[in-house]
Amino acid sequence: MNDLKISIASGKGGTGKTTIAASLASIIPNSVYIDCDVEEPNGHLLLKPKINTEEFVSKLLPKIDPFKCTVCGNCVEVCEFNALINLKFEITLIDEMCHGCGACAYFCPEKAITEIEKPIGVIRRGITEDNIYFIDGLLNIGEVAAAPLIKAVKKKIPEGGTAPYNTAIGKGTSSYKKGIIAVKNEFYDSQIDNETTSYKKEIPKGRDDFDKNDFDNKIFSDNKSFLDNVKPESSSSEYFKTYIIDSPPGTSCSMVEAVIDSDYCVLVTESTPFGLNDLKLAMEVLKTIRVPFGVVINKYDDSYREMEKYLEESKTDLLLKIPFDRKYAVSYSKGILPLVLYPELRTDFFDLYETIKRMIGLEMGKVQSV
Amino acid sequence: MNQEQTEEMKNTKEKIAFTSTGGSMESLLSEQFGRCQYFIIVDPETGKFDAISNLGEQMQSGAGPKAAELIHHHGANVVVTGHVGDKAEDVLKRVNIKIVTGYKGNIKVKDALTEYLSK
Repeated sequence: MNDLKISIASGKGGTGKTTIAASLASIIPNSVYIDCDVEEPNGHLLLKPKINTEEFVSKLLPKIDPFKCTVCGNCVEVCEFNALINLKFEITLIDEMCHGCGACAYFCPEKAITEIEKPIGVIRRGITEDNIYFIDGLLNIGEVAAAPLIKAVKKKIPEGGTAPYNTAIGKGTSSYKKGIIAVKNEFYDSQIDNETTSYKKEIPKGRDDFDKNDFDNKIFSDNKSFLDNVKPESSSSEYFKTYIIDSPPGTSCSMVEAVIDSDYCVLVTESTPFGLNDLKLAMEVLKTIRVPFGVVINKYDDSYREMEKYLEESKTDLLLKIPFDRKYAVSYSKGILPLVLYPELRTDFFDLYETIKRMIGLEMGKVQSV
Repeated sequence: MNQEQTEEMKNTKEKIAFTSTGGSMESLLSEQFGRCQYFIIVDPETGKFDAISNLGEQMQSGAGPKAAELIHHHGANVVVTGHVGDKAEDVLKRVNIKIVTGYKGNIKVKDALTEYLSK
């Protein structure tokens, strides 16, 4: 049993990363949704989690002691980000340029520099009604460097089986309760008992209840083979837990930081020349950092052939095409995942998940054979 | 700015930094401050000038404040350019460099100098 990290990225913005990521999280058992688009996180609008912890994240900024500083300029020289400026009579710091690397403090011969913490954002954690664990990061306004916060958000992805989530997953409704209280206790450890009881009342429906839903039964009875993979109790499931990482758009540091250690990356694009151009850039990045990837064409339009032609030529895996349809946009604009209202998408996403698992299997096979 | 500094400014000789696209007085003025190719620093009394190449052109970020630092270290106390960004402006103000903006990139540095001095 392995944990599985799937990142969802795109070159172009607004192609539907968050919709795809949230949809995947909603159909995968034991999923954790992680919104790494910290500049403007919006996964919570679709998944509507109940947030139960908030943590502040800081970065380190140098503080120069004017009495010790001799204005030698060593710190200015080593600063890779032009955050320190030598005014001859003193050294000044431009806060927003600083990445907090600590080189200035390390190289200061007078030991005049100490590093102090400055809040850059907040990490929110919670759980949705369908028992999807939810983590996102929210960068403070005016802060330019998103990568440190994304790094902090990704640190919340529990390594192995020690995190509080695990007690909650896959053991039926009673352990869900324990799990949630464990999460709560960890961060509100000094809270009194009656608060814990009041919290119990708010516990969301177990995934078992969710499965009994008429709509789901209809789908599942049509697809018996899916049932085995979907049920959280099934210990035969190949992967223990699935992390869905929603990456920021573009191909900059923040995108690389979000996708870098994932097992697979889903690139979401759209049937436009802009979509294709930015897809090429994103593919280049993923090839360089050696993350296997496949493409989902969202808002698919028959009339734009170049996209598929390019994918075919470059031998890129096309995972899914979601047709352009006004009704999906309407549902999205109301904050409802399109697959909740339109069952045909639900099967598409099950297929997508199966395809991704197969791709990762193939990829791992390749690695072993080398 | 306190009185002492104001006095000091009056007494020091004026040295004007022009943002430029090339290394001579014949080059066209650059409208960019942080990312101009050259600074031409002129002493208007003697007419002598220094051309300093600006590394800010290749910098990923923080070119403005770094350019301000550069001309400060070369003793300029006036800068004539098209536009100065917020961060660069902060640094220039702290080191008492007078900022003159609004110059267009279609005139030569020597004409910009005449124009500035005639004001």
